[in-house]
Amino acid sequence: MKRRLKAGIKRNSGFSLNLMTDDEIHEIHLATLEILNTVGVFVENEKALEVYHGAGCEVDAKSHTVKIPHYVVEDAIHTAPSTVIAYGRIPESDVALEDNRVTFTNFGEGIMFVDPDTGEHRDTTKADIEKASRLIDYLENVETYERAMCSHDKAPEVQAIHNAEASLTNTTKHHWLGPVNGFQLEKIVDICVAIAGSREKLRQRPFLSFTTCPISPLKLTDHHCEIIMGAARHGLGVNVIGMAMSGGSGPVHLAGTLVVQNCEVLSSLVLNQLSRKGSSFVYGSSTCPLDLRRATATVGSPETGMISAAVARLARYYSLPCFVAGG
Amino acid sequence: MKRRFRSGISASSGLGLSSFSRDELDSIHYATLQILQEIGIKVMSQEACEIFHGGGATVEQSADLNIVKIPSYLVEECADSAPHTFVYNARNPAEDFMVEPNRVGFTTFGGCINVIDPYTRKLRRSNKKDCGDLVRVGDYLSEISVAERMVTSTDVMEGTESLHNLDAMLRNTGKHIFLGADSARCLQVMAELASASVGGWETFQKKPVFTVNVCPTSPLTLGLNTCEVIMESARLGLGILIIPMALSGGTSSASLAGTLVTHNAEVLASIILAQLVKKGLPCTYGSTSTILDLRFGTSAIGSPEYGMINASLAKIAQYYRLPCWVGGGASDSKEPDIQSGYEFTLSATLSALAGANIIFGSGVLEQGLTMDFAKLVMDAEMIRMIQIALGGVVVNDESLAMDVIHDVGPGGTYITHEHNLRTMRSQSRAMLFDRHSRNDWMEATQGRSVRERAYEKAVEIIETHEPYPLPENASETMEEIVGAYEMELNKKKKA
Repeated sequence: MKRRLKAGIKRNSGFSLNLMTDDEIHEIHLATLEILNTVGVFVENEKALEVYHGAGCEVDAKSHTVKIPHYVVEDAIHTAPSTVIAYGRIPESDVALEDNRVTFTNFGEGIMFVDPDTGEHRDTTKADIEKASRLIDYLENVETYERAMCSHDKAPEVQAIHNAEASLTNTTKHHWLGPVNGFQLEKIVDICVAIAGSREKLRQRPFLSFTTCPISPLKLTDHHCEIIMGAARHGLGVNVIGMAMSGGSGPVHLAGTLVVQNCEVLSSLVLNQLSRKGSSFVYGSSTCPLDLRRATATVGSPETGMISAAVARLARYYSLPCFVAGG
Repeated sequence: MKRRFRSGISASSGLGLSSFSRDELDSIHYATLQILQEIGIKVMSQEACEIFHGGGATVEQSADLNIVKIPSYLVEECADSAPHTFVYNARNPAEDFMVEPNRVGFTTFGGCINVIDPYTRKLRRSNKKDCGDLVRVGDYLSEISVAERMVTSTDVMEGTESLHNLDAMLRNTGKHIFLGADSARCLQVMAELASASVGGWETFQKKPVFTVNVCPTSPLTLGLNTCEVIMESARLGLGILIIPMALSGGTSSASLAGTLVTHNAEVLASIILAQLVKKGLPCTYGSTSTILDLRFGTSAIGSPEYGMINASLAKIAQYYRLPCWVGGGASDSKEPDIQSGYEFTLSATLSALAGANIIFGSGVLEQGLTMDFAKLVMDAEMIRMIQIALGGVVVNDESLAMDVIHDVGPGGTYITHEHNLRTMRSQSRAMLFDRHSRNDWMEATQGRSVRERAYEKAVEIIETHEPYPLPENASETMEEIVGAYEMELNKKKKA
């Protein structure tokens, strides 16, 4: 039988989630602007205070409170890129991150390890990281590498550098790596420059992004600011992972927690874009509820998935790539 | 601060699945109409053919083949005359379940022939006691909305299984029951049995406590028994659940959209037959369709396609505004292990987000052959979690908690805030799953796995749970009814 072409009909390209409406997302945005402008955030780093001040924020040097007017926030949202390429060490490992494009990575950072040979439950070591990153290099459906564990067998002051060395030598996939502070960040950049061949080449294909976490509620620590500014200076991306735990460092209600976390991530974004306009910025979230019956962070609860899905929706509203917990 | 009421903004009521566009659903509908009209349905009952003919369908008869071709107006009329909302009545009125689009409930898988014994943990054939025990566990679990006969009584006289299944179920649950019938005559006796359990025929007719499962055979066939049971259900005024199991790649096309179309045709043809016998008969749009894994030759009910097909069919049922019952949560694993947990969560969540009225799949392993008590108890825990997720992130003045965020400020704590104390009970709660710290976990469970604790819970329920009581003397009457039917069949066999 002849079946002629149908004139254009509307199709859905796949399954997705009906989450919050645009109106509801807008509510969260307005609430965020209100908190940033009236309550403000605590900023520990002196240099960062100057940067905020220069852009028109109200800075109280004594209490380290920064109140950010709405236009500064909106500007930062607009100048951050909507598409971030998570470059690999080799082009075959490159992954594009943008609106609705879904990829997976491993959890990080585990501090304890179930030894696959002995079954023993013990502290993680640098050798474990080497193995884990090699495993992730092999797994096709894990597109990028998040520093999986911590080098407990190295001096605490240089653990992040060892973490970087262990995985950069074992997987070509894009790295999400926490440098802990500005000092280790510089050393890790040096390692990356050595791998890339030159600073210029690293800027062209930054195969590593730094991850850093604000402290909830509403605190940007000294190291957090150093990392955000340092990453921008070196042309590397930064992934700011909010961890406002609902019921602990955020309200029990998820909407309130989303507001608190949004304030932390957006104030970080402001610092990042003020340091260098157009820097790659990823909206991260590893939030879960504090189970108030057990006093544990329940990453396995349904709320974890709900918050993460909501963050993904929020990041899409801002046209920012996002990195959220799940699994 | 004063925050006055906002004029209406568009708000969401929770999480849902965005799947087909209206245009795509229309395309599936038109393709189904074309199939019913052009290719037709193979109908293996002469009486059913006559009924279809009387309703306006064309019947093409040859020596051993009756093809019924159904005009589109008849399809649409019958899809419309089936009620869009009704109640699954339960023996225990507190368990009555209201069905209408998007209201999500769960039940167990059904029709298994094996069970893993909860005491010995060994696999064996299921018997009537298992049928009752499993239903009793389901009766206890508030997450299970209605009762499906999970296993068949394989230890009873041939031809009486469904009657014995119903007998075991009525004695062990107060919830609405879904099960198949061995024959039209057996169904009459089943109705008698159920009447006895609610104190008489009149009460039963007003509030039938069971729905009859009927299975068209894919592709596009209504078998003799299926037709007879549909017609008898309609005469008795018992609602039917039409539940094809098309196997994509085997008994339907390997492309999922093609499978949806033939599946849809099979359901609609059954609804038409039922509506022609009795207009307004409650019909539930069902499915347990999945893919035939062409590598292993097995029906893969743990596959992502199982979730995709069933979530899609829920959307198609909503398109016709028919209550629906679709698969979700089944597993191909042989034991209640990690694989069975992963598989449960993916397909059950997809069907739940699609707004299916009843999602069935809990408790099952091994391509639908084997029931397991621990899996049933663990699945119930996950159902509660899925239902919390369906609630979504509520956005309003109370949940945005702006005054609280102002109060706490940068660096403060929420744990001691009055708002926390007031709202903490809204958090999800793990009962069987573990959220302790490692040390507390060891202390609370002595390191026993969740599966071990689930078996223990199931045994505890079997031994202590008291189902909703039967009326006085009902038990004896029911025994007589079952006995009489066995004698009737015996006589028939001898003759």
